[in-house]
Amino acid sequence: MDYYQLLGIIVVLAPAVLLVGIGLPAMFDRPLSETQIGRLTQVCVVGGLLAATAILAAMLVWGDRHVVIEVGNWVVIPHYHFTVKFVFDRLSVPFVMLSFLLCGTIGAFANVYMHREMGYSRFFLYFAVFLQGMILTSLAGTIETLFAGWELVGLSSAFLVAFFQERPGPVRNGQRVWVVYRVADAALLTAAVALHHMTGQGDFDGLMGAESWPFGVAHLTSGQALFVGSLLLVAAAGKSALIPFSGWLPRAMEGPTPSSAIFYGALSVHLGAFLLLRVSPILELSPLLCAMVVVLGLATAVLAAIASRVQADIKSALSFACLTQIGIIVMEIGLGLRYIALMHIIGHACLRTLQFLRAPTLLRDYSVMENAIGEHLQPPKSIWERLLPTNLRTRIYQLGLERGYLDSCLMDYVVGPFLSVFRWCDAMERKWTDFLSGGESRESDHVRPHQESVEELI
Amino acid sequence: MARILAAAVPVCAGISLEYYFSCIDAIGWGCGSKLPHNVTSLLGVMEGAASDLRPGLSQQMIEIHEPVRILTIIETTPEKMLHIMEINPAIDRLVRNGWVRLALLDPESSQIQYFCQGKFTPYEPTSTELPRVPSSLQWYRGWRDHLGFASIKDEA
Repeated sequence: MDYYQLLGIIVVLAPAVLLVGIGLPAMFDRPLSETQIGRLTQVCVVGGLLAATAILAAMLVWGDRHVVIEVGNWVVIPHYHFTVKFVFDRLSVPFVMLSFLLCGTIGAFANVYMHREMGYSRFFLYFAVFLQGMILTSLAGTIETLFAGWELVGLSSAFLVAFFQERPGPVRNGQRVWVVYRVADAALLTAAVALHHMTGQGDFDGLMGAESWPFGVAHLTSGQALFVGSLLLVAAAGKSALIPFSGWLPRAMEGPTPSSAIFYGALSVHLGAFLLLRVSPILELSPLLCAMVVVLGLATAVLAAIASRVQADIKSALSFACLTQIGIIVMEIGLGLRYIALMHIIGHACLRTLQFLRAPTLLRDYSVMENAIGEHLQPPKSIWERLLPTNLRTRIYQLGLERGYLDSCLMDYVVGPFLSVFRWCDAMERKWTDFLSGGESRESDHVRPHQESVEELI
Repeated sequence: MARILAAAVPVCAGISLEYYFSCIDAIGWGCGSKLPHNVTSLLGVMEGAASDLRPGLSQQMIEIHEPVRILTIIETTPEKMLHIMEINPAIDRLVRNGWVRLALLDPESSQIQYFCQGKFTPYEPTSTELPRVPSSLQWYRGWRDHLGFASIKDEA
């Protein structure tokens, strides 16, 4: 078992070494040079990938399908514990290898693409945080470990969307992505607390039996499964940009091209689907929950398919195309097709990475293709053109163009009421404190807003 | 020659001016950094998820260029050149309005005539000294600004 322990630690520590290696010198004002950062990234990613491959080989040779690496307990009290542990099984090993492979590809690409750029080391720092988050999430054996990785991924995503801090657009969109992620995080955290409350622990194998994925059986009642499962579904929907959160995905295309590719095309958006796969034994307990997952996936796939056809810019078109596939993946999970969903994720992530990385050279690719076939590329004729009446087609077009009205619905029916409730509470509190102090009670009213905000720099 | 110049001068002026303007204002007249570029409608780029279409060249294309007006040196006489400018308004406007600098090399005397404020004047070099350095590395090392000419001669 020592062999597994050693390799497992290497897999988890490789991104941590990268993070510390880039972050620590920068903190002491001695940032590494581009060459050093590039080399360090290469070593850590390849090291992690090799260790993960060695674990896979060992598991295949010795016939192990469920390797648990315990790092230790954080809190132990009777009937309750927080454990830090990592699980290598049929789900996490492919996902870890995919993460290392794609991160390595993007790292190599970005090393050249970002050459001499102002934010070169900042990009690689976020990249390291992201890689660490992905590895923690994929290998997590307890829901708390998963949450820690999930948070790191969300944090680095939001920072990378707002990578160009000197313009207001990216910062605003970064904040929006962050807000959606927080909603997803809140749902995941509530689910974790609920799981602890029901079973006294957050360990997946305690919850789903010692059987390796995907044969676990959850020890919950159908009602409990529905409650926890719905929360996890909200978390997955936020992270994977399913309905009604789809609006953030095209907005996230503000960052540098390699980060769009890795986060929103390849890895980060699949985390929601990964979470659903990880807790699939819970889904099995409640047919209603499965139906919800299928409907959500189907609705997202249909909406994204419509929206992707009318986007004018390549990154939005790709992000909705990506969303179509994720909708289908989620639907497969709801239907109980675990292995197909996993393979779909891996294939889709690789394809999207390629497409996103080729996105800046789209015009050249087009002319190469048109030169090769000797005529202009024609969009294929759709059968819908004959089947649907014109005004219905116009409606559908409008729906696609407005991205399903999801953003405006969320603003009008969720954000608006939310803000007015809290502003009302604020006004009442002000009334009371003014009344009690017999005059103006808030010193903060006279404090001028901070001048050096990002908006002011423009 | 008029036909050669009708193509060469405007094309070279266009390329040079594109670099020139992108260089002196990379954000306003150039298209900024290429990193967040997003190809839109197969006709141009915008920044990130939504922005105006960006003109000019990206920061990565102009970072090793100096913003200079192109200098066209033509081996001909002033009379012939003035005639060509007369019959070709495109060249005339570029040259007279200072978008392109023009100098003529006399085929007989090798005298250089520089076009300045509407007329050709003989060019007098202000200095004939050329710095001499043993290697190009020594000339550019530690120098981040625009670099003058130097003659590279290996002393050894």
